[in-house]
Amino acid sequence: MLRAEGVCVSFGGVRAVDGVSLAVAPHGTLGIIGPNGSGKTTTFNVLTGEQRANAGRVTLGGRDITGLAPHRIARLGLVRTFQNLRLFPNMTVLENVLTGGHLRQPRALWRQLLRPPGVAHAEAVERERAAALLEEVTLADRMHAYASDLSYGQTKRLELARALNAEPLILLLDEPTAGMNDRQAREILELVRAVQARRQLALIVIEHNVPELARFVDSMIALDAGRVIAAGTPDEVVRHPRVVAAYLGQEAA
Amino acid sequence: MLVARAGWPALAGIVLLIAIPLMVTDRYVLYVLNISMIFAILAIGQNIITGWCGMLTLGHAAFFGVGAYTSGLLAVDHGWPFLACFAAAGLAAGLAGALLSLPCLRVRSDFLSLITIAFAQMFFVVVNNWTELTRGPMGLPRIPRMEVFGWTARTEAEIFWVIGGVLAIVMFAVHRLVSGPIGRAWEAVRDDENAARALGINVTHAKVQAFTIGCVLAGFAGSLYAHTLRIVAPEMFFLEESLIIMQMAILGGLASLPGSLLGAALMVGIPEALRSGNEWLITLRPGIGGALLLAMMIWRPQGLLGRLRDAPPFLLALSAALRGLFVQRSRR
Amino acid sequence: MDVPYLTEQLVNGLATGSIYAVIAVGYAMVYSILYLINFAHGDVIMVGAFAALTLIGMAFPVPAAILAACAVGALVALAVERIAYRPVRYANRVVPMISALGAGLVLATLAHLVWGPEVQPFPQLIPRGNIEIAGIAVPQQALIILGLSLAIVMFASFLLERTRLGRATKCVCQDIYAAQLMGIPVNLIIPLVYAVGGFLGVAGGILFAMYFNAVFIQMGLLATTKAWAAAMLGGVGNFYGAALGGLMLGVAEMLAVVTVGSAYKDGVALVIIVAVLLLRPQGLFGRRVVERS
Repeated sequence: MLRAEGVCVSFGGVRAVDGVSLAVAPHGTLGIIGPNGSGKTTTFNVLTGEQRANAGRVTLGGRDITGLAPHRIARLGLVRTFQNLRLFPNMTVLENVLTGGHLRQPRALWRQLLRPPGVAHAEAVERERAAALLEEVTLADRMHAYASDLSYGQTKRLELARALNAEPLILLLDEPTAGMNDRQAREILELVRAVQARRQLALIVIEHNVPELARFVDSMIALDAGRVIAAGTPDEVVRHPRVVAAYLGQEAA
Repeated sequence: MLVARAGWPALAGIVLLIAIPLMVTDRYVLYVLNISMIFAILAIGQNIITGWCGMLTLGHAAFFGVGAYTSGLLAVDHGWPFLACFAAAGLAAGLAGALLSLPCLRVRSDFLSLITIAFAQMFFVVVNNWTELTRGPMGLPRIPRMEVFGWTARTEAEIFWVIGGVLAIVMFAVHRLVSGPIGRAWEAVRDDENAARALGINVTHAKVQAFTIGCVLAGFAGSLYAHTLRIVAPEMFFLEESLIIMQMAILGGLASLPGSLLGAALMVGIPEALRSGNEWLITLRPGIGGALLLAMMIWRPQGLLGRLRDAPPFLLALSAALRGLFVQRSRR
Repeated sequence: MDVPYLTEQLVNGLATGSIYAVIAVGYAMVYSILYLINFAHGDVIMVGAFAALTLIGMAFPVPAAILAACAVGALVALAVERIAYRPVRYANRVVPMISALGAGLVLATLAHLVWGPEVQPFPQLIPRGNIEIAGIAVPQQALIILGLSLAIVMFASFLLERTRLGRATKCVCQDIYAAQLMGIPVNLIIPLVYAVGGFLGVAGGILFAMYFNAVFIQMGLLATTKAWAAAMLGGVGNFYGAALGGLMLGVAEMLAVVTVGSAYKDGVALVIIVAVLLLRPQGLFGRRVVERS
C-alpha cells in the first residue's frame, strides 16, 4: 500500500532521516517507535508531503508520490493527525469533522450558490455522516461545542473523527497518546484499534507507549538518530538489543 | 420554498426592505440608510477575507474605488446601461483582486497586507494623476442614476429598494457560501493551514477565492456608490477608508453576517448623527476607531471573533435584537 | 553622461536609501522573531520624530534631544508591545496585526491632538553645501546622513552579534519554544527587541526629518511602505538584507526620478514589492518562504 525507500532528510548539516525504508500492506498496521529526535515525525512529514526529502522515494498504491504537495497526497487517500494538535479552534466539533469530508463535498462555486437539489441533500447526508462518526468516537454530546472548549482527551478523539471523515485508505497517527495517562492511552488506542478493524484501514502509528502499541500492530520499526535499527514483528523489535540499548536511560516502557 | 429554507428572519428582512421606505419619509434618514447598506456590502466583503479566511487586507477602499470608477466611467464615457456597469464593476474589482493576490498568496499571506497597502496607495496616485481618464482630483461628475430595465430610481426610497435588493441578494449568496464546504474551507485555512492542507484543501485556491469574492463585492458596492452619489473623486478612496471598513467588520463581529450590517450601520450612522456636533470628534475618529480595534482584539481571548457568545454584553443584546431582523446567521 | 550631476544624485539616493535602511532594520528584527509585521512601527517613528522636534524647540542641545527622542520611541514601542501585542500573542495570526493597526491609529490621533495636522518644519541641523571629493562636488548633508545611518546600522549589528543579549535574540529568532526551554527569558527579549526596533526606527525618522526638513503625521505610513520594500528586497527577516535593500531602494528611486520624473517616485517602492513577490519571494538574501500548495 505505502512504501518508502531510502528516504533521507537533512537540515543544514544534520541528517534527521538517514535512509529510512518502510512498507505497509493494504490493511496492515505498522508501528514506529524510537527516542525523541530519532526522526519519526520528520519521516511522517515526508510521507505526507510537508517535508521535501533530499533522497528516496515514496509510493502509495504503486504510484510515486515523492515530492507531491500535501493536499494532493491527501486527495490520494493518505491522511494524518498531528502530534501537537491541529484542530480548528474557532469552529464547532461538528464543523471540524465536516471539514474532514471536504473532498467529497460539492465544492464548485456555482453549485453552492445555486444549490440545485442534489447539493442540499449532499450537505444533509454529510451532517449525518459526521454525526455518526462523532458517535463512534463518543463525542456526539459535544457536537456543537467549539473545538477549543474540549478537554485534551476529547480533542484527540475529535482529530481522529475528522481524519476518518476523509475516508482515508491509509491513516497516519502521530503520537495519539501523547500527554495521556495509562488509562486514557489505553482507551484511545482501543478506539484506534476498533476503528481500524471496522474499516480495514492501513495504519501507521508513531508511539512512545511501546507495550500498548505492540499489542495491536502487525509490524513495527524502530528508529534511532534517523536510521532504522530494527524491523519486524512487535515482539522481535521490542526485544532487539539495539532497541533496548536505544531506550536505556529512558524510563522502561 | 425559498423562504422556508432561509427561515423567518429572512422573511422579516424582506418585509422590512419593502416597508421601510414607505414608513420613513425623512429623505436624510433614508440617505444615511442607503449609505449604510452600501458600506454593509463592503463590510461583508472585508469579512469574507479577514473574518472567514483570516487574511488582513487594507486595500478594500481601493477595490471599492475600482468598482466606482469602472461603473462611473462606463456610464459617462460610453453610455452603458446601469446593470452592465454594475456587472463590469464587480468583474473589474474581482479581476484586480485575483491578479493582486495570486502571486502573493503563493508565498505567504502576511505579505498580502503589505501588497494591499501598496495597491491602495498606488490606486490613489494613479486615479489622482491620470486626469485624461479619471478627471483627476476634481472627480467624475454627472454619473447617471441607477436604472433597471428602463425604470430609473429617482427618489431616496427607490434608491433604497435597489441597494436593499442588492444587499439582500449578497447576504443570501454569502450565507450559502459560508454555511457549506466553501466557507468551511475558508475557516479551516484561517484556523490552521497545515491541518487544512492535510485534509486535502487547496489552501492557495481557498485564499485567492475568498479574496476575489471579497473584492467583487467591493466592486459592486463601488458601483452602487457611484450611481447614488452621482460623483466619484479620488479622495473618497483613501487608505483610511480601508481602515474604517475594517473597523466595521470587526466591530460587528468577524465572520458574522449580521455583524457586518451592525458594524456598518453604527459606523456610518453615529458619525452622521454627531455631524452637527463637535469639530474635534472628527479628528478623534481614527483614534476611537483604533482604540476599538485594540479593545476588540484584546477582549477576545485566543480564537478570532464571530463567536458572539463571548461578546461584551452590550453587543450581545444589540445583536440578539438585530438578529431577529436580519437574515439568519451563518453559524447554527 | 553628466558625471557631477549623476554623482550628486547617487549620493542623494544613497542617503535616502540609508534612512530607509535604518527603518527597515527595525521591521526586520521584529519580523524575524515573531513573523509579525509591526504595523505600529511607522507611527512610533512619527511620534519620536515629533518628540525630537519639540525637545529641540525647547532649546535642548541637539544630540541630547535626539537621544531622548529615540528613548521616547523605545518607550512607546514597549507600551505598544505590552498593550497591543502581548495580550494576543497566541491568538490567530491576524489578531496582533489588527491590534497593531489599532495602536497605530491611536498614536496618530494622539499626535494630531498634540501637534496638529499640518506639516511642521524640522530645523536644518546639518548645513547644506558641497564638499569636494576627487574634484566632484558632493552634497555634504547627504554624505553626513549616509555616514550616520551606516553607523547606526553597524551599532545595531554589533548589538546583535557581539553581546549576549544579541545572541539570545538570535536564539529566539530561530525557535521561540526551544529558546524558552534553554532558559532564555523570552518575555524580556521580545519587548526588548521591540524597544530596540523603536529606538532605531526613531533614529531613522529623525534622519528623515533632517533630510527633508519636515515632520508630518503621515510620515509613518510613508516610511512603512518604503521600509518594507527595502526589507522584502533584501530578504524578509534578514537584518543585513534589510539594510542593503534600503540602499538599493534609495538608488532605485533616484534612478526613477532621473529617468521618469519625480511624480512617480513613491511608486518605485510599490513596484519593488510586487516584483519581489512575483519573481523572488525570499528577496535577495532571505530564506525560502514559499508555502506549499
